[in-house]
Amino acid sequence: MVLGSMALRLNQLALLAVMLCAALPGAGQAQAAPAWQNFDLARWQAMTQPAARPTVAVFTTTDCAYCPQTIHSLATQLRARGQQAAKLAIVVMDGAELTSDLAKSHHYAMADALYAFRGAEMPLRYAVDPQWRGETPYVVLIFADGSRRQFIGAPPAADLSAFLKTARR
Amino acid sequence: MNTRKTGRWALFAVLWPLLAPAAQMTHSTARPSLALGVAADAQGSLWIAGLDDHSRLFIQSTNDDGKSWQPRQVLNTGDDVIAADGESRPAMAFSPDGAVVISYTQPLSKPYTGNIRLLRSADGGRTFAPPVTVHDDRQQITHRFASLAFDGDGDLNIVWVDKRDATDQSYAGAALYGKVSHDGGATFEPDRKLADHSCECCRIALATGADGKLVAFWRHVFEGSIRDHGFAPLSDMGRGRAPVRATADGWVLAACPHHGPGLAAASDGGYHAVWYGLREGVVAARYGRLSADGQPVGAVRALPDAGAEHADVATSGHKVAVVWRSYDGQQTRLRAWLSDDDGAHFVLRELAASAADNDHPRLLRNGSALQVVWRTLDGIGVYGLAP
Repeated sequence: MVLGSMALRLNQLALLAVMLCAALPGAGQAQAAPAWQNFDLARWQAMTQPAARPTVAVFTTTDCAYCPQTIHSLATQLRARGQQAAKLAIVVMDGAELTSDLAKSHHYAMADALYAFRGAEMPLRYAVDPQWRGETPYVVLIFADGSRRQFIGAPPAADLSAFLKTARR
Repeated sequence: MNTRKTGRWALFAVLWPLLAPAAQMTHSTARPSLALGVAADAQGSLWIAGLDDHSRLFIQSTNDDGKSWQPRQVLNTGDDVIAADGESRPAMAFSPDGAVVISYTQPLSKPYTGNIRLLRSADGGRTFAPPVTVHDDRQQITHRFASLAFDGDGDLNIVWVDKRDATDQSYAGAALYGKVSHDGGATFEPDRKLADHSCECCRIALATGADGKLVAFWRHVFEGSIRDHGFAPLSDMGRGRAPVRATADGWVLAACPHHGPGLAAASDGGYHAVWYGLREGVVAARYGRLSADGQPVGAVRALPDAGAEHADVATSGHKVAVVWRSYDGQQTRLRAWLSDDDGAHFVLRELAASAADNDHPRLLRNGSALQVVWRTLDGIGVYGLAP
């Protein structure tokens, strides 16, 4: 009874907190980053099923110095097409290292979906591409029919352009 | 006083305890940090340093090649968060007079930042002094991927990846900095630069040459973002010399390989080297020979396993051991390529296999024996290496 009463009070306080934060001047002005989700083999398999909306998947790590620039460039090019046909998904491979500060890094906010992977790395890498030895950023263009092309680093402009042409409807 | 701001802070203070648990995605225990440092003492005991299930740094030793282990000793590292995954592993070394040093990276809150911390024992590992930050530079920037070793004179050398010189986007990669201690890590000379433009995310290999001096071998960023490997004696620290280009794969890359090289002294005064990269369109872990001054010598050979990764090399006399891990879709295999004629001929051995998550193989010379330590979620194995 006491615990139930305390939980109710906490829920009420949490609701109050959300409402008050929303009311604070300046709140909600920046584009909110998508919520972090867990990533695993099942998620990858679902991501590579034929879908109406193709995906650019960027596999990154918290210590990858080249990743923010690559993500920014890809997001900019996707948005420059003026359409929402292709989704940008970011997978942080060392999700266990994703502290609250690192999770707020600005380049993550450019994604349509954010995933943290905390499992065994080698089976996932093998599923993505048996040739992948862990380089980051590792970029996979997942076409609408489920086929894919993968690149260490940013895809060449011609490959990305060809991908975006297939994504355009 | 700005009452509006004061009111907001008061509100924040009240609400923070409620909101904080959701905001703190701190280091998860879902994926254990398996990376080990390994070393052998003068009595032939094999030592490991790593993180336990509670992310605490521990050391442990075995006198019978891993058949039995002494109790784990958890070390006092204060409030340090410790990186122990893949290339970023604790490093451990014994001085000729029995002092023990252990370095580790303490990641900081900003991306890509860290401190190199050092623990030191003057009594063979029974007790340790509190950890100290190794580098004089105290900016919240990259100081990571430290390697350490005692040279033939008994001096402790420590080298790490450092971004203090990368003050704008035009600076390629990071730098290698290092420092020397003449008293087993109690005191150090000032930080000195070994090389500009190292890769930012790969371990550094150290080896002792025939003259007892240490040399470094690391993934470098050559002109055009070519990720071949640099070679330099540590006596070059602070001298501003360009490193020798020791490999010639020509891998142009704007990404992090997370894949550092290995190096060991050859009996003829040169070196045996292993590294990973793209060469003539083929990605592979490769083996090659270097001269005493780091120049590539002879043919480069791909390891006999298309899936080989995180290879390392060690030598003892004419014996050469190359080890790596390789995933086949079901299991990770620990494999070795062994030679007793200075690398003229090799035989392939499979040492172990595991379906569990696992660390890179950690290779060491223990007296005249060559051993590899492999940690998986199922345990820690020690394997002797003989052709």
